[in-house]
Amino acid sequence: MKELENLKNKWQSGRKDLPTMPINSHELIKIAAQKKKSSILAHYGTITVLSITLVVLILFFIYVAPFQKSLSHIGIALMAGGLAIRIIVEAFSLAKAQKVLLEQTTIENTEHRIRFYNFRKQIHSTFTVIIFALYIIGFYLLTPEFSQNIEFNWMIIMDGSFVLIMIVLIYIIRKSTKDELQQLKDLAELNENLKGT
Amino acid sequence: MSLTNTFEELHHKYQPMVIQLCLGFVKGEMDMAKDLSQDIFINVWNALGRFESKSSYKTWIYRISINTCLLHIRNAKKTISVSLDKVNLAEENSNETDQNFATLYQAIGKLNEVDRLIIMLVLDELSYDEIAEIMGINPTNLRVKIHRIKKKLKELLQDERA
Repeated sequence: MKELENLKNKWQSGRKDLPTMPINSHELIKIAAQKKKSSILAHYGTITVLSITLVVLILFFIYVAPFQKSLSHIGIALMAGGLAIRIIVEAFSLAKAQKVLLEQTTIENTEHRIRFYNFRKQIHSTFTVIIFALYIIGFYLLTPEFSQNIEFNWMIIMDGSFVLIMIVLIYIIRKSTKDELQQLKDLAELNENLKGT
Repeated sequence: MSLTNTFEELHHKYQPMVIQLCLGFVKGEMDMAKDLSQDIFINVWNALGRFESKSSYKTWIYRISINTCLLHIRNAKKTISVSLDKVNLAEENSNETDQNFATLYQAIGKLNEVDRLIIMLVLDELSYDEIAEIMGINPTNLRVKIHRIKKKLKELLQDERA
């Protein structure tokens, strides 16, 4: 008991000798504004890139390569639909992330994050697979009509690069999924620590 | 009072409290503690518009500080493990008073992240009710927890001194 009192005294007396932060409150507000800007760019970046891709894809199929066959139309719809679903899911995910507030109690904040990462886990295990499938099927449904208009060698290059892009994308998504699952595991452990004795 | 003025006041008043919490959390590494304190005050500024006076500013800032620390440790686990070595090096060149603090920070640093934060709130003389309000932990659980952490810290300090 006495030792704890000594520790408390030591702790509080140590506070007097602490150095101050190198920047004042006005500079902090400026840094906060800069960070907010880059965070908005990072958050909305994916959605913006996906939306631009969707618009370019639609414009390409309307003005550059207007396909005639129904099979191709289904292919375009699947590709564009897959992208549109992905954009909606990203926007939903962003809205959910913004609801996690740092001024919550530690347990509330941890549980909120766990719910968020469980939602992300669901996205990765179901939505991402569906979106990929839609995109791949859609692309290959375009192949028959494409092959009538371009040379065989170009078809091989196009198909080959599509497979390559898909492999790279799957690798990136798998890596980020692994990171998020680790976050979920750490948070579950933290929650257990908080609630246990 | 404008938000900027309130923030200025909070920053001035609670800066030592936040830096000390960060210092204990990152095992005494001053540069890291300053960076973490900066992140905390940025988060305080971002959340200030949402402050509803349901709790005191002190409790509210403690909540933000603890959640930021826990978020930080998950984002930078590797960097933090390096800090203990830096403390050892700093200890060799410091005077007796600083060494006492380094021993305390090192002992606290050996506790797990939740225990580390709770004991720092205890050392800051917050009541059990206040700690429960900050962390959202059931008060009965908290009492048992604090009893166990105190015992463990005592052992760790004895080891550090040996």
